Amino acid sequence: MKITQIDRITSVILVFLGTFFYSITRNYSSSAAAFPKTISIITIILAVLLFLSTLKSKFLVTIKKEEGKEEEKYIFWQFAPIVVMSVFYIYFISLLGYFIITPIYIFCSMFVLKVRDLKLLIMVPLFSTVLLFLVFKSFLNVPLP
Amino acid sequence: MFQHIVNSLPIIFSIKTILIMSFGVAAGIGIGAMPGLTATMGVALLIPITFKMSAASGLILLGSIYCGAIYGGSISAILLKIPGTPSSIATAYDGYPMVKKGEADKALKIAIIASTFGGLISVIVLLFLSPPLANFALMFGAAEYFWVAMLGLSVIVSLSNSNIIKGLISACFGLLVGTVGIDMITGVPRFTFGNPNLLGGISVIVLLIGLYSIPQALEMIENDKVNVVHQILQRGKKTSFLEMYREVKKDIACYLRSSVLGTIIGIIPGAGGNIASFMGYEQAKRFSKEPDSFGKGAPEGLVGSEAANNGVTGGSLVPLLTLGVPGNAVSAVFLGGLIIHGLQPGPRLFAEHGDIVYTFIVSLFFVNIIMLFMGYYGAYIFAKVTKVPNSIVGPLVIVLSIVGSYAINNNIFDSAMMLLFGFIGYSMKKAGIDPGPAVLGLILGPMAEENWRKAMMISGGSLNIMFEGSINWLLSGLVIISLTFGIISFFKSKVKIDETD
Repeated sequence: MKITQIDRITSVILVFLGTFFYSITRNYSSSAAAFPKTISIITIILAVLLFLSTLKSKFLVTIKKEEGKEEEKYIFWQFAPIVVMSVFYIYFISLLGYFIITPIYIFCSMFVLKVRDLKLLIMVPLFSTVLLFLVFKSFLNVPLP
Repeated sequence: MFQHIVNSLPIIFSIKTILIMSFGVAAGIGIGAMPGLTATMGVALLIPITFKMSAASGLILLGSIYCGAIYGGSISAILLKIPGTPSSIATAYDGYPMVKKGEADKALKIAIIASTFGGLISVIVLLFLSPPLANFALMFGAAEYFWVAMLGLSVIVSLSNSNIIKGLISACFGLLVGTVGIDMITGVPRFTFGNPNLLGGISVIVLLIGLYSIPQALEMIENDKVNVVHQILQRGKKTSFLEMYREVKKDIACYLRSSVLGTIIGIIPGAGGNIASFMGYEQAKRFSKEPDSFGKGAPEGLVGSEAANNGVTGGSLVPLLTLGVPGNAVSAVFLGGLIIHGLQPGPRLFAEHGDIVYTFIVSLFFVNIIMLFMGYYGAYIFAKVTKVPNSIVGPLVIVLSIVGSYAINNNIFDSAMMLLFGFIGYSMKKAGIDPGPAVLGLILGPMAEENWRKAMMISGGSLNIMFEGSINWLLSGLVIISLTFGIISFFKSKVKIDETD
C-alpha cells in the first residue's frame, strides 16, 4: 500500500476518533471537559491537514528505503495467527494458569513461524516458562498471572 | 551533595549491587546486540522485575540495562552491519569496513572505549548539573510548569519526526490517553466507559511496553526472514592493550568532543541516541585530518558515533530528575520506575530523596566501568545472541510483555491494554507515526493540564499569570521558537517522494 493511501486512511480514522472523543466530553463539566475537548479538536484539525498533505506532493515526506537492505517479504498467514493467539493467550491465562498456557502459546507460535526442530519446539517453551517463573516469582517475588 | 556521594559508596560496593549492575549490563548488551530489540524496549520489558526491589536497586538495574543496551547496539552494527539499536546506525558506517579489513577486534574495542567515555562524561554532567538545575526549578510555580510541559512537548514533536503533522498526531494520542481516569481536580471519571479498571488512568509502563515491545516483536515475525541465523565474521588480528592505548591517545580529542556533544543532545528533550550518533559522526568527520577515510573504516567515525550515543544516557536523565520531564522514551520508563517506587521526579526529588538519587547517579559511573570490562573482553560472546532466530525471540518478547504488564497491578486487564496499545503501535509504525511523542504526551499532558488549571484557579481565570515574570516569558518564547523551527523545517523539506507499493 502506498504511503499516501495509508495517510488518507489514517486521517479518516482520526477524524472519527476525534469526533467520538469530542462527543463524549459533552457529558463532563466544563472544567473537566476543556482539555480533552481541545485535544479532540486539534486531532481533527491534524487529521484534515494530514489528508490535505497527501494531495500536495511537496508536503510529502516519506522514509527512503535503506540502501543495500535486503527486501523482506511480508507473510500475512504467519503474522495474523500470532496476533490472534496473543489475544487468546491473555484470555486463557486467567482460566488455565500461567504454567499450562505459556508453553502451549510459545510452542504454537514457533510452529506457525516454521520452526520444525522438535528439540527446539519442546525445550524452548518449557525452559523459558520455568526460567520466567524462577526469575519473576522465586527470585524477585514479582507476581505472575 | 558530597555527603550523599560518600554515603552511596558502601551501597554501590555491596555484593548485591555489584551483581545487579553486572546482570543489568549483561542483559542490556545482549538486548542491544540483538537486531530488532531497542534500549527502550529492553528497559520497558525488564522494569517489572524491579517492582519488588528497593528504589535504589531498581533504578540501578534500569540504568545498567540502559547503558548496556546503547553500547550493545554497536556489536551487531560492527560485526553484521545490522545496527542493534537505531543509535548505532552511524556506527556501522566505519565499523563494518574495519571488520572487512580484518580489524574486528580493534573496532569492537574502540566501540566499547568510546561508549565508556561517553557514558562517564554524561554521568559527570548529570552529577554536577542536576542539583543546581533542580534548585533553580524549585522557584517554578504552576504557570512555569505548564510552560515546561509545553516546551517538552513542542521540542519532542519538532525533533522526533520528519513529518510534524504525524509527530503532533502521535502527541495528541498520548495526550488523550493521559486524560483517561478520574480528573484530579473535579473528580469526574473521563473516558472510562464504566470500566473500574480505567479509573486510575493508564499506566505509562503499560503504554510503553505496548508501544515499544509488541510492534517490534510483530515486525520480527511478519516476514520471511524469521528463521535466518546471522553469520558473524571472524575476529581477525588481535589488538594489544598497548596498541589500544596509542589509538585512544591519538584520537582523544574526538572521544571528548563526541562525549560532550552526546551529553548536550541527551539533555534536549526528544533528541535521542540516534540524532546524537549521527551528529557525533559528522563532527568527527569535520574535525578529522583524514575525512576521506570516513566510510572506509576510519576509527574516528566509530568513536564519533559511539561516544555520542552513550553520552545521551546520562544527559537524558538531567531533565527527568530535575524537572520531571523525560528527555526521551527510555527516560520515560525511568519516570514510570520512579513513580512505582513512590518517588515523584522533579526538583524536590534531590531534597526529599537525595540518598536514592545520588546512589543511582554515582552507580552509573561504576556501571560504565563494568560495561568497559564486559565489552572489552566479552564482545564476541555477546555477539552470539544474534544467532538466535526471530522465530524464537518474537514469541518470547510477547510473553514477557504480557507477563510483565500483569505484574504492574496484578491485573490481567493491564496485559490486555498493553496488547491493545501494541496493535495501535504497530499500526502507527506502518503509518510512519513515531510513538515517542505519544509516550511523552501521556506524561506531559496531565502535567500541562493540571498546572494550567491550578494557574487559572490562582489567578481567578486571568491569562496574565501565564506571562508573569521573566521565566514564563523565556519558556513561552522557547515553545514558540521550537514549534516554528519544526514547522519551517517541515515546509522547507526537500525530501523527494519515495512511494513504495
